[in-house]
Amino acid sequence: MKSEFLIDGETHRVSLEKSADGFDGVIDGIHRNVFIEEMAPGQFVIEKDSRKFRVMVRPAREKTYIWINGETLVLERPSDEAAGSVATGSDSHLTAPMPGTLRKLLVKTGQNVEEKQTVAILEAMKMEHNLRAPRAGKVAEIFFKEGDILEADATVLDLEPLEEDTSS
Amino acid sequence: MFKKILIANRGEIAVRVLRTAREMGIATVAVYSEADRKSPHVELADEAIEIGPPLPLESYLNIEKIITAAQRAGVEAIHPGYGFLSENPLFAESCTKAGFTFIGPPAEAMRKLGNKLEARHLAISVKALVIPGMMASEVSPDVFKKEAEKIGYPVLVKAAAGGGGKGMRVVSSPDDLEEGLQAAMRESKTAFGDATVYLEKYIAEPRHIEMQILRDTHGNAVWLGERECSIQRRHQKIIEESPSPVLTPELREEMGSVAVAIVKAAGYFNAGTVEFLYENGRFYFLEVNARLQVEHPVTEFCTGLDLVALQLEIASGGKIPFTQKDVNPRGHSIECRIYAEDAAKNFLPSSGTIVGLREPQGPGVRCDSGLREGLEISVHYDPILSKLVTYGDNRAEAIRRMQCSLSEYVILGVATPINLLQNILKHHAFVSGELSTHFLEHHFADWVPPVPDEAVQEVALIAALLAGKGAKHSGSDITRAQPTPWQTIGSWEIART
Repeated sequence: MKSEFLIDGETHRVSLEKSADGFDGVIDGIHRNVFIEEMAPGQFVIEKDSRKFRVMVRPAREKTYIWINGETLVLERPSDEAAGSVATGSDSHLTAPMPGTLRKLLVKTGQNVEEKQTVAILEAMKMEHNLRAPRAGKVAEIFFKEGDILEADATVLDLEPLEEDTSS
Repeated sequence: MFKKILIANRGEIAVRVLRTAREMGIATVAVYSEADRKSPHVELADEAIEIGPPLPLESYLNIEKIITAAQRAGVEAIHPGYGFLSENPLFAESCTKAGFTFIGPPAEAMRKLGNKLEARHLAISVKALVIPGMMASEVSPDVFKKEAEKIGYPVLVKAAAGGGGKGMRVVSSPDDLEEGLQAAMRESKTAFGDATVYLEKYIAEPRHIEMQILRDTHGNAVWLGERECSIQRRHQKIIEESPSPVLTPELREEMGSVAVAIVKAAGYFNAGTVEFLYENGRFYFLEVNARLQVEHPVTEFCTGLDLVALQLEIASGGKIPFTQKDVNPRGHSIECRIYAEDAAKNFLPSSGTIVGLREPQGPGVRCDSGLREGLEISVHYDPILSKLVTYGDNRAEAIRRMQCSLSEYVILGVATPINLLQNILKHHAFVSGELSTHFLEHHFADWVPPVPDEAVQEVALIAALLAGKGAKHSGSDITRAQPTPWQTIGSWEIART
């Protein structure tokens, strides 16, 4: 009944079991006696080391949203490929940082772009946001056209290394 | 007084207007787009009429559809709220032509003041100070370049039809002028349907201070005190307060008189706000917002007035029921705007579903909100979710109440700046009233949300386990929990919001 959790890249092992006078939470091998009172569905008062925490928790799809004493946290399930692709893939894909309408595409497939060059303009909630190339490169493929509505994290275009780079 | 009105808006402001209408015994008609079918303003209104697809141009910005809805519902008057059609003179005219009272200023006054260039001329005519810059619009890039050099960089590109920070760009060198002009033009075209822009001197460290006015059609005009709205991001206000920590009674009096003179010269009636930039003891006319402002509740707290009730009174031909000498603002009020946006990611809009909600309350606390659990926050509209307003005998008390209220405010499912606002309210510069419109750049440029302490993280992990379990079992099982469901939960990682 142990589970593994990642907090800022660090793995934590957590378990929870009913004990004689509350719950026995084991966090990274350390036993914590906690008292849990469910006040309403998804609303708890959790007491740990004589400190009282008011908690509201809501699981929603792959995320769990938690409010604790004025602070908000989002717990996510790490996907299997996430660890690798974020590190290596982020600068060859340009992704939409938020949902919105692709207002302008300023580059064409095959065009060379400089680092930080504005390549597209995304509009959301009536504000414009410049999408800039994460690095210098050649536009390999564009996945949307002007007027398309993008989801957050949608890949707008792919960059490939400049030809000089590959030949050297 | 009217018997039935239509509210041509959505979200928190539609809810706020219909509350006052209901208090006054006026029946309310809401309009909504397909995306807003389940919004609180639809639920709360006496009648609700669907007006089209989510895109604003096909619903909330569509004059014809709103007039048709008003005819169908048989209302006497239309309240435009803020944003959308509120400052569109064509809309005001269309209402009048169709036989409805527009709850706001006359179209003619809106035209004069809504165009920032015309408003600048008007302000000069009553001897108000204006920011140095262009007095006429231009299309030629060369002329813009020459004007920019004459004014001196940095310059501010402004949409003549602008408002709410849209269609505005700071340009610090000639190289960036063209891009700034184009971006401002496009944004202005989208937001206001008019791409006219002009240049002004960019004032380095201003404070934004504005004056609330009222004018009726019986020759009465009053000012109701100022609001300081210096805490802004992307030229949009996020914290407002009244009174301003910096305005002396003499300057307040002067600002009030100038504001009244400007609206009189424009032939303006109803509620309005005259905005100024303040620097080194002088205030420069900025623009008139010909509508109810988002931040009007801070004035309501300090004066004890209901500005929407007064709007309705004036629009129905009534008199302002008091005179200038009866206006004695007291105490201090602060408003925080709660947007659906990620303060840690350069205030990028955040969309999603409100999965958890608990709004603060208590003495001197007001939360104007258009939220409920399960509400979808879409990308189509302004990301304002609610306004949290507190009142105290003095600034320190209003700040303390705001700090407590922010720490009580639960919004789960979309990112909000509550965390940042908490940090601002604690910052020594804010507490001591040292404000400017660049406050965030100066003090919070590299802000990242504080990492929750270890105990909070541990409790979060436990709560995630409980929530995972809760999906399969009823709450009452908690105390006799079986360990098995937790074996299936899998691994999680914590991300900060």
